[in-house]
Amino acid sequence: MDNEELYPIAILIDELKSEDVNLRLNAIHRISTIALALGPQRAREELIPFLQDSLDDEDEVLLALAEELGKGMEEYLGGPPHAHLLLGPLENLAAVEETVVRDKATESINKIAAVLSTAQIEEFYIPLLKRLSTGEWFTSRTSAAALYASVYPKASPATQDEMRKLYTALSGDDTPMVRRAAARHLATFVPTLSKEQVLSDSLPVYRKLSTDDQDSVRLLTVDDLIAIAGKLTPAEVNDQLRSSLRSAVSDKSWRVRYMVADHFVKLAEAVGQTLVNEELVGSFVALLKDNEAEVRSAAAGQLPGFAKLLERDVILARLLPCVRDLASDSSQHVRAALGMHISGLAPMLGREATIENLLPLFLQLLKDDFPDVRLNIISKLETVNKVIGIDLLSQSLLPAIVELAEDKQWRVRQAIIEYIPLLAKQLGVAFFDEQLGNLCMSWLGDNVYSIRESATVNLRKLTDVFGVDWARQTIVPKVLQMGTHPNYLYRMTTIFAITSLAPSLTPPVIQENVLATVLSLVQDPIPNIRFNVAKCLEVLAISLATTPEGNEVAKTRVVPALQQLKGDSDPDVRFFSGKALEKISGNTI
Amino acid sequence: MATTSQIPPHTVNGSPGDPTTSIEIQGWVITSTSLPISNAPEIDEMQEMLHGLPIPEMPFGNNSIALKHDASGWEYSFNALGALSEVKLGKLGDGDGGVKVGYAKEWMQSRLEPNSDTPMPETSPTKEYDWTYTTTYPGRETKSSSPHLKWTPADPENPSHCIPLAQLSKRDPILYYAEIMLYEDELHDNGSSRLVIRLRVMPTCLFILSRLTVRVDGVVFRTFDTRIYHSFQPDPHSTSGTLHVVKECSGWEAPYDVVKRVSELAYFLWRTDSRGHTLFQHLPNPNDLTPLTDANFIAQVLTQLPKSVSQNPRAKSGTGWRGLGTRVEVCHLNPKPVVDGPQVAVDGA
Amino acid sequence: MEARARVVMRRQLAQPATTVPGQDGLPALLLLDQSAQIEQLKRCEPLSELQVKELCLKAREILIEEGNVQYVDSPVTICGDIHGQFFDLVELFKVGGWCPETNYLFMGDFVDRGFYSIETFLLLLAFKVRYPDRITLIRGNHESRQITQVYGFYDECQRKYGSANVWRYCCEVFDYLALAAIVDGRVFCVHGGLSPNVHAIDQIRAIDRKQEVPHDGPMCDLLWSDPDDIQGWGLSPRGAGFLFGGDVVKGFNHANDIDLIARAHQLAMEGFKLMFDQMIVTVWSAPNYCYRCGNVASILELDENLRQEYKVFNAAQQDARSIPVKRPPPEYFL
Repeated sequence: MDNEELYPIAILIDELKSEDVNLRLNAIHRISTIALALGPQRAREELIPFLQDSLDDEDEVLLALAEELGKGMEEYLGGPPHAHLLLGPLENLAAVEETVVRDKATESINKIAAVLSTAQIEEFYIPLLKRLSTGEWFTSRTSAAALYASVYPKASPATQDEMRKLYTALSGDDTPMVRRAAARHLATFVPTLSKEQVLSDSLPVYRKLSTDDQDSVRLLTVDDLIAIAGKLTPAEVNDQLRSSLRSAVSDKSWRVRYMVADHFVKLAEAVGQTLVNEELVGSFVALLKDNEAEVRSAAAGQLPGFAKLLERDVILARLLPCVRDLASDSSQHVRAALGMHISGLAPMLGREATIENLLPLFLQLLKDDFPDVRLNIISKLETVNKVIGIDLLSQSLLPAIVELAEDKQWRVRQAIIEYIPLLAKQLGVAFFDEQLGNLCMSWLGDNVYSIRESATVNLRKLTDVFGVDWARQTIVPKVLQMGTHPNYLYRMTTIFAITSLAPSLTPPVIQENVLATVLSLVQDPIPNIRFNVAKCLEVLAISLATTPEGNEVAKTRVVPALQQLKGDSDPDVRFFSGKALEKISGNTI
Repeated sequence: MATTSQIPPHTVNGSPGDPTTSIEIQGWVITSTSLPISNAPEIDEMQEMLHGLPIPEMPFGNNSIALKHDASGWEYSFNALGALSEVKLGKLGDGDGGVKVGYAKEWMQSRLEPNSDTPMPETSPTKEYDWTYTTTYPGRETKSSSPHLKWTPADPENPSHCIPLAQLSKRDPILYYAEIMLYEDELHDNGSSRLVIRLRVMPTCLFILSRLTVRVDGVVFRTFDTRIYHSFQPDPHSTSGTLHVVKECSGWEAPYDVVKRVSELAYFLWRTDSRGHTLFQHLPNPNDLTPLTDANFIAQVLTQLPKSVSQNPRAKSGTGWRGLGTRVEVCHLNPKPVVDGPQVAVDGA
Repeated sequence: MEARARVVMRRQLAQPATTVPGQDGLPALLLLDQSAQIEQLKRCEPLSELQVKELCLKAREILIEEGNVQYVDSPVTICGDIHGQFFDLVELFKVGGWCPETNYLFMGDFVDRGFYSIETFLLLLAFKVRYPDRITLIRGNHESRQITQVYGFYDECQRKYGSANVWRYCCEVFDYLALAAIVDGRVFCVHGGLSPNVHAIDQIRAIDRKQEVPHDGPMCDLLWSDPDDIQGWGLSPRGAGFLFGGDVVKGFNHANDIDLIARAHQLAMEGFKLMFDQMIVTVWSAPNYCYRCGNVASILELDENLRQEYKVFNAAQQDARSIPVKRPPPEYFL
């Protein structure tokens, strides 16, 4: 061997031994390059054993190694027929104490599993799986649970039998961490099994895990239950899982009940309609009435999805009484969760039942002390609108909405603003001007930036509803007035409002009513105003250019102003005016 | 499955997340309140009541845990005002365990050197107090508690005069749980001082842990725990069959470097399996001191140290803090005396 | 040999990116690239380690040009401690306006304690690199290697990147941050407070700031000291560090012809706290500090006439914050 050939591996070894973590990390990230330099044979014979021996390092280095080995490294070893060689170092990495490293190692092992042949799996992967599954330390057994699903379909029937036995052993492990891993991965393992195997093997495993001492194990079995139910017929689910379902719903740990509540719709879809009607309605009611606020919140989140599976009479008779209770729940978080999801019931109830049953609850929640509740209800009114129509909605809710438009919490004000254009469309211009006009203008001077911004967007949407003439007479004068405000943040609102309105305005309106104000702000002492003027002029010029006269105005008035700004003392003003000029010349003149 | 002890009838009021919740069980009413930190007027008021003690950065002045036992009239509570009233105000002396920050000596020296660029200015006296907010406050009887009930030293021979850790390790269902902060201060980024009270009510007993954790970076770690235990069943060793409450107060401290060095090892063991086997003989990154900000972790290390280090007021490296060591007391919950009636004899005397 | 060439090439890639001149010298494409990075950070999406490295290098190029006391023109919005509360920082911008529309001055303590120190600091830094005239960042006592190892930033970098490199890059930037700022010559801004060795603001300029925050001396005082109800200077009962009274503030403001000292460093339940005849204010910008204090936060808007307006704001909405469990689960403590 000559020295030239040895060079790359020498660097690697040098750097791997370095005191500096960075150098060691760099070395690991270069292993594919090194492998290429060595050629497949030496990579197999020297590099892999070397990596396997040098596995005693900082977690960050081990993590990098676990990752690199899963990145198609087999290409450098001579292709998939040699991919199993990578399993050696990864097996060790799958047993270290740092969870992040183990997770990355199992991820890489699963990637490699995809390129292994049936023979390689039997000869190399399965023995690895056995070693990890029966390893002395819980760390390797924990990792093992993640490695079953990816190879099970490729294994021989005899091996499959053995694999199921091993998995069963993991689920009965002494260490809760291993049982947790078994519970976590059962849901991905189950779909690879035949129904018979699920009944003979997975079901007992599930039963054992779902009655574990530790609630941290039990709570992970909710997904398993869903996966198993997905494999069985409704009748089988009824026979085999009904009692487990019951115990999960009434588990003494609230964390388990929380998981059930949180997965309820998926669960209901998996178990089939009969069980939904006979069993789950009752369970759901129990969760909605649970002692723990977290459980009630989670269940409230599943209301619309679960209601979809039920007859309207059942919703009215069984769910609505609970919904009424939740609307005055002692926990604000529960009420907020209800506020977010209650409107989702409207489509299932239909117009009459919504008016009779939900509308009073909306009004109650709109007046809730806790802002999140008010906010959630407002942000979801659209769904209700579709069911009962805007007339009724605005009649019954308008007073409450006007009150909320001045709410102390800016997010509540914002939610109202976003709802205004929809209301405007339905109310008509006269009613709107009388009821909501002033409100819309007062938001422009709000002391919260986001409200001012939303207010400008709102004005454009209103212009789209009521037309340019309305805007010119009603909005534009008030907007321009603010251009002389002593505080730059409020002058900025004028610029924003004009920029936002411009696409909805006609060239004559821009030219006659707006342009002078914007141009006067070219001289503003504050650079922030000047570069926003530049951005605004860009938009105005493009709107103007839609007519020949307008194009002329852009050329004679807008472009010179931008050119003046391009010579500004402030770099941001120069940048944005330059950008505007570029855009205009590309687009129009 | 966990042992299913008979669950006694009880009522929980309020739901988690509510500011105030309570449980009524076996003749007890236990109430806990958890709210945001005190606002400026509340802090001013608190400072006035505490004779001018500078208030910690995060005082949870509205938080409390209160216990009330109907039959005996015993009432006991934990709150920030009480805890802070037992923080030393004034010049610190022997037994107060006063410390300075780690770089105090260098800092002072650089100012006092004859040719210092940054000479010490003329200074006026500032308020002297224990800025680590060390307190040995174990909670206190409220004003309305029956005056006839007194704490007496525990009888070391009486097995019911201790905190039954084995009993408490059982995974019986927790009927009621509360965790409240009383105060926290980051010691001006020189460490941290936190007082947290936790309570759990089980089918057979109630148990409270009040834990003060003080860390002064580069200087000292200190923990002061108060455990209060009450079995709902009468003391089987007592002839009178009265109920009682056990209170165990323990203080530990150790120099920062001792805890850090030991915990580098402990941290390492902590991350391995139950048998203590380690896979790699290297220490975790010494740059990462995060576990040293975890109160439970600190307590674990301090309690594992030899008592001659961690509970010895005369330890050479220590501060001489009087809170070190362990004391156990009991209070017999004799029924409220009939007016002018004879005092019921205390058992075991 | 092809393989050797590859090794060499990889090594070159790891070299520091070429230095970046002032903004006008930057090609527009690069500025657009930076704008894209800002958008990414606004969504709290992490940058790659390499991107962080480049961003930090560019930031240092800009910060090195700044004085120890950075001169800032009004109008500007002054902010206090953020402490890694990224979603609350977004809330701050939603209330005060985004950079570059609104000008900002942040008085340090960007990192530690919150769950998103990396995203918080990098967003501010990305603004600084893209709009150096619109945002000023000064150093807090948490912008230090030693402090960040104890209070969370180091740990967060390790956790999110699997290495301490990002922490190292950021710490190098910390050393270049200005120590103080002065708005229109009238409002003096500093993280902690005054130093007995600094009578005139000009004296701060003599400090060699490009170093780890020292344990003593005027640089330490500026980042660590607190106002207190005492006369003159006092020694902290902790054994290191100064307290200063109203007369010190009055004397300093008079001697330097300034109206107000704005500082951060201490939690104020109401978001801000004025002291000593409104000559000094503490601004606190981390609402619901440490996700459990329930306090409000504030920012101080100075308009072009130096009129002061304090804007108080709450923590971001719960669903936006994505913080872990809001209450401790029952635990079998012993």
